[in-house]
Amino acid sequence: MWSSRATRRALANTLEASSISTLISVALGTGMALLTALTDLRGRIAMVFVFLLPWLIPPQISAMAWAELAGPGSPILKSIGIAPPPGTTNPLYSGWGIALVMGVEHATLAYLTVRAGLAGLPRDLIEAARIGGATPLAIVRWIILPVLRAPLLAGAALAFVSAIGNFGVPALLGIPGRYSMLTTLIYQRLNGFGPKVLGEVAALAIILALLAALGLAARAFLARSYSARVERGSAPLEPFRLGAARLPTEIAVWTLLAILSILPLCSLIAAALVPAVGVTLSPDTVTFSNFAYALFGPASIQRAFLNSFLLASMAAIICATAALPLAWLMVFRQSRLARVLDLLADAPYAVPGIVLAIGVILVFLRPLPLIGLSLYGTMGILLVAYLARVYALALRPVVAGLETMDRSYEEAAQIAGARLGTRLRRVILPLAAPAAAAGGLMVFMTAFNELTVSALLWSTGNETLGVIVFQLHYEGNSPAAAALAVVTVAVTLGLALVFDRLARRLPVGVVPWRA
Amino acid sequence: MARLTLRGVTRRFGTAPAAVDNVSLEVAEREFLALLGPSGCGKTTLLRLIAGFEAPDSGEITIAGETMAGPGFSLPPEDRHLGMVFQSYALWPHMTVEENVAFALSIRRVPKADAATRVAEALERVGLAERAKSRPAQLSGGQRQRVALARCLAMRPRIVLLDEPLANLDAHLRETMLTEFRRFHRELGTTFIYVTHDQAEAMALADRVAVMNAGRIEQVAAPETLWRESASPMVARFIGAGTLVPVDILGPADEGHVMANLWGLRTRLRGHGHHAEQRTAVLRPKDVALAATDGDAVACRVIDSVYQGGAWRLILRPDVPNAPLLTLDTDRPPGGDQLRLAINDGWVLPEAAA
Repeated sequence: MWSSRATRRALANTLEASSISTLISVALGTGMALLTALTDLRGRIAMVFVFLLPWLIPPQISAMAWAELAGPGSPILKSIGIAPPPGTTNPLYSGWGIALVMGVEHATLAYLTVRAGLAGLPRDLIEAARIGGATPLAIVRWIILPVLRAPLLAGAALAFVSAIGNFGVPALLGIPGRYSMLTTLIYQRLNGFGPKVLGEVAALAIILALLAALGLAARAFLARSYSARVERGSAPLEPFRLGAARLPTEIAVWTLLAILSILPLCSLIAAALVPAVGVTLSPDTVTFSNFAYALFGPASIQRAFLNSFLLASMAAIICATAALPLAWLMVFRQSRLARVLDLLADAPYAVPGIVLAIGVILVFLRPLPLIGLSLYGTMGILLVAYLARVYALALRPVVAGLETMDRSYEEAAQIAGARLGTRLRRVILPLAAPAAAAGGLMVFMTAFNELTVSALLWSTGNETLGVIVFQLHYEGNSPAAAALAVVTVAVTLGLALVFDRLARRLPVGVVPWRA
Repeated sequence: MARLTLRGVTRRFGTAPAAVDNVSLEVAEREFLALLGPSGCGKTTLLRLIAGFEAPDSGEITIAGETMAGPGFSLPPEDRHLGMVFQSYALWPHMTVEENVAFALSIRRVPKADAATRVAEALERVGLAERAKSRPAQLSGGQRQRVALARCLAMRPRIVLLDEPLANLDAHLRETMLTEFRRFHRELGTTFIYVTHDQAEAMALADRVAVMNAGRIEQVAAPETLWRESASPMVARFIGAGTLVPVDILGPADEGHVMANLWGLRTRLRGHGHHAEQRTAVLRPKDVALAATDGDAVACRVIDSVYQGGAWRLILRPDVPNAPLLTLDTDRPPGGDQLRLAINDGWVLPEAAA
């Protein structure tokens, strides 16, 4: 197994595509963070929101959208006459294509770490340099970038770990392009041969887990070296005035954002509006039949809507509810139990989804003790895996909320005679509720479109939306797949807007585009 | 309204020197005690030990004879029936002013009608009856302070603990609140324990002041005693900008006074001592004055003069080797940079203090 050519090629491909994608993520994320945090560009919140769109959209749908944009049938490329000739392979069905789409998708991670690093940069440091006569460029070169080195590398490590664990992009672009990666190799083996090859794929999963562990160790090491410097409550940086360069810069940024975030989505919508693959979109050919099919078609799709909705709601409610006591233990008590819980909550999230899915199969394939039932092949196993995968998303905002909460709120209640349960219910819960709601929303958004663990754990009757979109695409019914994808993206973006409305009541940084 | 006793209370954090080191203290019923000291002296930790947020590593705390904390035991804060006003006020932002004040009463299951009366009464007392339905965020700093106090009063606690309650208010409001605190204490007859680093606050409010330094209590005394008869060099320096000078005792003078040699001058000082002892005396700005004659006076150079609204404060260097700087408050602006200073009073620190 270790020496098999397929394994070695998948490993080499994984490293290659992930490295290139990491470079793309870091370049995009750092550039965007510097521009939005340090300059006086207008409409920065909108810019960041559009920049983060690819991250809000599940990877398999991004990959589908990009494939529609770059393929021979692309209405947008055709209109400007640079579409690949009909009959040729989509140029994105390659290592470069995978790296590009993953790079855009994970640019958010680099952006967020660099942005957090900039937030910790004391304003005095920059003002001192300005008083000393340094030009803005000199300040970026000699002060900002050196301070940002650690967060930049940490962001890179995170983007790398996400890239090697990514399944949706290589599944959509790599499988047809015969560019195999570790995640897709595991999926194809397990899908083709069933649980009897579990041992073999578990070995593959271990390689993946080791790579992820290396990246996360690097990140943890780097995070320690800069988190100590963060000064809470320091005044925000004074933006540099771009002067005459402001309008051209704004145009350049919006053009780039249009290409990276908007055009793929437009192509996806276009692909959903034609009756069949290859038909050119025009007023005569436009049809809504794909949407009708996606919403009112086969029972399996409707089941998938219901299943995904139920799974995502349950995951959101359970995670948001459990996050409060756990976050309280972590922040206010800092007990050893809480540290262990913290590790447990973080590990599954950091572990690549496919590895997690295999772990869940290994644990739950055999009948549970006492009740003698196996969760394998039920919704139960999906829920368990979802919970493990998204728990940290709900925990982080609540922890951030409690960390910034005045400790004396609880102490005042304690002096007033309130016991722990009363304090949690009447003082901490109302104050942390917006953060818990935000966490629940993020869980829902992620779980509603989940593909990676669903792809290995679903069974007939227990389909999820992610799996159905993936299958429709593979059956060649791309218009229907695109239509279903558009619907799920609309749901996700609708939730993102709700999330945005919550921003005022949340700790700074929980809503990423308002960081 | 209860007697508070601390016996040998010690609290350490990790391996650092004890934050509170073997502190013993008695606070009488209805007393207003201030815990005063520089930052990091342990005064806040001591308050939190009394409140129950910290458990002592050793020692014992009792209130009205009831043990609050002892060896291996610490009653949680919720069972101590105390009130506390926090530096940040800690008004719960999701509750109205009224709900904040009523919280403790609902926890303690005070009947609704009774609770409503007590809440109204407490808000009336702090002059905020008409803001009962407001949220804390809609109030000014001074108003929040009053709500915090009302919340504390409505609980009818045995002891009111105040943790630097005026630190976040501007100077003008602080004056007003000082008067209010004194009034509340007079009207309620409850024991107040008040932590502050501001000696003017402590002196203005307290019946007795406990001066803390490095986890220990240096002196507990009435404000006037602290000022006139400091027990240690730390207290002497911390209170009223005292200057320490070495003196040789010549012998006892009339009751409570000694004659001493101070920079070659025969000086009458308050305190006790025996012939030929080398001791330390504390001189405060009020103890020195411009000399009328050249006789018993020390020549000084004026280093600096600061106008302080109504009076000048002069910083002086006596023409004596190794002499510390002295301060003098005078009505007249300084004329020239040399003057002669008479030493009219001073306090010889007690023996144990070197």
